Amino acid sequence: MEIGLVLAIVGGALAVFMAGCGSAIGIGLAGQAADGVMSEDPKKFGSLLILVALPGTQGIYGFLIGIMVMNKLGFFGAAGLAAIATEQGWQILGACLPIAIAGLVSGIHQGKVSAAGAGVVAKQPSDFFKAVIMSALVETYAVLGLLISILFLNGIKI
Amino acid sequence: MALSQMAKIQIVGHNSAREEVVEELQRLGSVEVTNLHVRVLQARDEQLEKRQLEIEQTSAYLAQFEKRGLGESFFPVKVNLSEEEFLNIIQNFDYAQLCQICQKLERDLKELEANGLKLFRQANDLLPWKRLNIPLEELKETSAAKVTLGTVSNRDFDPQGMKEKMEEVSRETFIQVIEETKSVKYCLLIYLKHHQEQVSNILRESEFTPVNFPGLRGKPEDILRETESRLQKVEEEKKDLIAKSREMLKEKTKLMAVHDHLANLRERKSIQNLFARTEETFLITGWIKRSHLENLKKSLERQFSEIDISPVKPEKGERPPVDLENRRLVRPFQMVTNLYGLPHSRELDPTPFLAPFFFLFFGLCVSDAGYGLILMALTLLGIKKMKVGQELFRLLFLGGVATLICGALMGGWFGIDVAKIPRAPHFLKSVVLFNPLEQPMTFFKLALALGFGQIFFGTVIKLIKDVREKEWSDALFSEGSWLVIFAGILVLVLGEGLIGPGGAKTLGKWLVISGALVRVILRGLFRERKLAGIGIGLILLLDGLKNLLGNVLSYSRLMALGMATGVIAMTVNLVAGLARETIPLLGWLAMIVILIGGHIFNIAINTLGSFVHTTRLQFVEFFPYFFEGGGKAFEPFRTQNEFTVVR
Repeated sequence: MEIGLVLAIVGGALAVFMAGCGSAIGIGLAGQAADGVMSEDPKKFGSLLILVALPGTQGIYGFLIGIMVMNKLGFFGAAGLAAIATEQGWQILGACLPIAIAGLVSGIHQGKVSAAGAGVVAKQPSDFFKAVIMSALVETYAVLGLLISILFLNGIKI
Repeated sequence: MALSQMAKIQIVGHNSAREEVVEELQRLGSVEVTNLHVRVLQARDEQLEKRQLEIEQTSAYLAQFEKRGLGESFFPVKVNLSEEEFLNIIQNFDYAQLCQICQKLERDLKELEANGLKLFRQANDLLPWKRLNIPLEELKETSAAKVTLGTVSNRDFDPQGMKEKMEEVSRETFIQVIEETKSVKYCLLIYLKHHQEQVSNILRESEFTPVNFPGLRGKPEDILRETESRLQKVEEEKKDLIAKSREMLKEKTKLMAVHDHLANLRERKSIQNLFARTEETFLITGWIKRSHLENLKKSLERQFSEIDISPVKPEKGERPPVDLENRRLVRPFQMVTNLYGLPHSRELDPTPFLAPFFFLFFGLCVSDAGYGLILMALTLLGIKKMKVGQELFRLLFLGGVATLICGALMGGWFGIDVAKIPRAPHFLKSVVLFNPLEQPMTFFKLALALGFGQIFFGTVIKLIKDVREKEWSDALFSEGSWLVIFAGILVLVLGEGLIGPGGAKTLGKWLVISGALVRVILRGLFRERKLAGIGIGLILLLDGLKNLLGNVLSYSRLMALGMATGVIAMTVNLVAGLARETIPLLGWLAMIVILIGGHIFNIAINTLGSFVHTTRLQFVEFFPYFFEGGGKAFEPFRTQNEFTVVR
């Protein structure tokens, strides 16, 4: 296998697992807080579920870039793997970094905001959606990372 | 299509009619009573509160026997009752008796549980002594010997050593190990009282813990058998009680109806704390929608002779409460405004302004025609079947329509490009404007253009607002100059095709420059009336440009979210296809499961994401350009039912 292909695969893998880790940590944080609230009032499950699910998108974005890389490398086509030069490999690896790193960091912090939002659900249930918006403010930067990763990948010619 | 017109009224009446007037006001539910801040006798009904508390306790007790589905954790379930049914329950249902029965059941159940726990502990303690074949009551000291049961830790216990040590003291010592676990040995020990002191020392060294069973008679095995059967009986009785409680569960609906009724009675009492009262009369002030005023007057004056309802002027600085009123199509979007907070009483309602953008943005974010259809079907089901969450369902239904339109325009149907479906109707192929995966930059530009458009629009609204409020300097130097700058940018970007590249460049450049000059220099000279004002103007201009750039770029999320939906949908299809090819025999089944599960997951996560991000664009990017907010919601005094819906 050429170095280029290896680099490209490493890039796709980074996007999936770093953004995935961000989401996992974020949901973990938010989920703990949500369970705390639910131990007092299980009826709030619906609102809490939305808050806890929010930091999950980073993982999906990373996964999406992973699939796009695989598609680019020809994992799904009948023609087999494409020939990737070393510099192309580096390009693909670089293209994956925005969502990988922005996903990791924003996932964790979105989880923290969501966890605090569980407090809003507990004490001011009618203002729950405001907490959702606060949490979504963090996600913006994962979305921007995703956007740049998509545009980079689209621009790289194979 | 704006805020409801509010009128302030006062109602004066004779005390004899007070309770009935309050009841009628609650029934009509159109007046928000304001606090007159007059100290009156606390109108409180402790009897009522006590009864309500009892009902709450009873319903909490009964609730533990209910079976609840997952769906009910999302939407609280209310009981549907007709008005007759409701009245019938309130008049005839003996809730006090039910409360008593349930209280007794609860007490008995607790007692049984305590009893069962005691028996269980006893059995647990006795279990290791099962093989001791002596009735417990016979294990007592004789005139010369001491008989005792006890445990020693198994780890550092050396029975042989202990025995030898004992035998050194006295020959007449008996140790028998009855039972042995990994960590503990259970022993029977007999020795002469004569040697008590020495034996005690040895026992202490080997950490012997004596065990007593006061009050128990018979052989451990027999006692155990009996305990077992008693435990079984307790369990049976418990089951019986639970079954009886379940039986009571069918009365819970009635109980909740009474609960709601009592809560409303209580409200009727506590609202009177806001009135002013004299010996003979009472005075109420409050807000009412102008359109409801006639109806209130008619209704009260018909029933009561000694009453007067008249409009009054609001006090200086007093702001009426706010209620939104929009046409049917726009009404669902009120939910978005409500989430942010209401406009203040003299402001425009932002709902009709955000509605078209919300609609379009939501559609672009989900952007799959197939998903749009499913969303429409599901929300339609919700509107028909659910009693709560109507607003949300209606809003999401419109979102589904938008998704269908945007999805069809981009040719995505369940993640499949319509151009690649061989037998798709020609009509569906011909409406496709562009394919986001092949032309991502088109999507990107579209998103930014929409963002620019919405910000432009927001600035126009602010300009109109300035003119309405006669804030001329703001209108000219702030919003006016910005609009000139925006127009210049627009010409620079789009003008090429219309007036040629050279002309567009020149015109756009001068529009931007003149706007900026107005913003900086004229504002500085006329508004601040000094040269330093120019510096402030310059900072404000740069800050505004920075905000404009950031805000417009923020709309790129529309493209990112839109493409995410499509790519995940494609991935679902891909994985399903792989499953069909690779799994022998059951491949088809796996494919169907993956397709259904995957697409449902994608719809759920994308609807949530699209809703949140579309809302955010309104709140964070759009609203700051024109919207202030801070209105207090109109909350009329009315009948409010927590658990029942009476129609």
